[in-house]
Amino acid sequence: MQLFLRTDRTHTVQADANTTVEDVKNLVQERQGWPAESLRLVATSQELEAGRTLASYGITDEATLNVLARLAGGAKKRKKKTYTKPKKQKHKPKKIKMRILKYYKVDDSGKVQRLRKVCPQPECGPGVFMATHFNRVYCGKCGQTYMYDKGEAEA
Amino acid sequence: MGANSSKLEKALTELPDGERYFGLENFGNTCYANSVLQTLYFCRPFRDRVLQYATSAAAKSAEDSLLLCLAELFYQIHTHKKKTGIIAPKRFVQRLKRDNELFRSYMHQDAHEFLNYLLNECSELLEKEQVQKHKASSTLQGTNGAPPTTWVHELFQGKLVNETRCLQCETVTNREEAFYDLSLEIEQNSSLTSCLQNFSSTETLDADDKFFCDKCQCLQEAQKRMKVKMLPRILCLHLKRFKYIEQYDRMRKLMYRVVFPFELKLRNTTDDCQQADQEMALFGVVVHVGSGPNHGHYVSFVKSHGNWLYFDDENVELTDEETVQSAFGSTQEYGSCMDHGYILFYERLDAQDGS
Repeated sequence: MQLFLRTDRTHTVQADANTTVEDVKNLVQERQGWPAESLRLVATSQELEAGRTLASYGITDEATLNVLARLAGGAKKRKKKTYTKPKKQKHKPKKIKMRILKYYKVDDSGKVQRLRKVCPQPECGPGVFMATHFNRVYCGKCGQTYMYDKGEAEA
Repeated sequence: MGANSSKLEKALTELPDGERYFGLENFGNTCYANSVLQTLYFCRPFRDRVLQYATSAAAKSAEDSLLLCLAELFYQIHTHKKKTGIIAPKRFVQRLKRDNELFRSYMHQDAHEFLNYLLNECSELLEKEQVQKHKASSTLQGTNGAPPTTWVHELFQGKLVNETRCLQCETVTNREEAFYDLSLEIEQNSSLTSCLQNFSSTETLDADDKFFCDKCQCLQEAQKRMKVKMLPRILCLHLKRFKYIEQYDRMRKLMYRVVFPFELKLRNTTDDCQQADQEMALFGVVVHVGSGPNHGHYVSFVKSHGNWLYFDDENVELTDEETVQSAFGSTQEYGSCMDHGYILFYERLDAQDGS
């Protein structure tokens, strides 16, 4: 039988009842170069699925098949977020010159004294000092905190 | 959504009661379905029949099907307490994914392909039901061979005549073909009317594409044209906004400007077409947003009670004719305008329900 394939113009092709949808798509590719995998074939507004024969759709002599492609769409459009609060400013470490002098002191005999408490946790050990705050000492490495007793805080 | 919906509600207070405007949730790339569903929901005769189906006896006894899920969704919107809001078409999308391999993935899809599938699936299901009914009531009467017609056919089906004239023996072959929609070739800076004219222009079949004439029993040059014999009540026009570019061996989206009128009269009809002079009114546009054929977004414009509405997944907005006109396309090859009317829905004015 003879089929009309309608792309941007009409092609005539020969087919028989056992011709499959893929065969027709390949014919279009041959004739017009359209990649077969991106094609859609529509006969009397029925989408022709791959893997079936033309006869199974009841397509007979001189039927017209529309050759179409796709315009894919589906994306969700992201809404732009509106922030009410201003952006948080990043913390910048203060630069204090010769900060290290606060941690050690050389006494009269020439020995070095450590002025800060050493963290007692096994994972830190000697070498890690604890920061002295107004009411507590805090280890920056492990987070261990010791509150001063009321009386001790004065000392 | 809060402020948005109240604004819409205010705008809609003048609209008749009982009309509901609901956004549809996007379940990951399902807006090709959402835009089509919205347009179909606001296609009054279609909605009425789907709602009828939802409450009919057939629906209660029927197995779960795509049509049933559609009916349920429409019914849910129609009977909702509120006038606006968001609904998740969860069951419908699940069913769609189960029924059709193509839509199962989370890939972007073609809205026209979906529409076509939905209409065909619905009419098939209805046909099956009719056949069963016939079998149940009387086994003899229903066997006159004619395929049953359903309300999907009644609304969307039209007829084309394919006229082929062999240039050797002058024999004219007429062949009728049914259609749910017309796929139109488009040109830059053209109008829908001229695209329709082109659709029906006479074409010569020659060279590699000669016509096998049954009378001459050999390949002959021939002339062929297609005309509309019967206008459907609802005419879907599908613009072929894609083209194969040989140079790059791939498809491209055509951004062409195609002006579509709000009222349309078809000129490319056969002489015996009864609805030849009928005016048709635009009531829905499915719009593809994006620069290429492989991905993008779908939204829709819908006319309801004289107002144009814009549906974008969850969002519903009141809009006007001018905005709808923005979907005509761009005059330049690579314009900045990315919204393009893809499927156009017209309804015949003489066939409106109930009036």
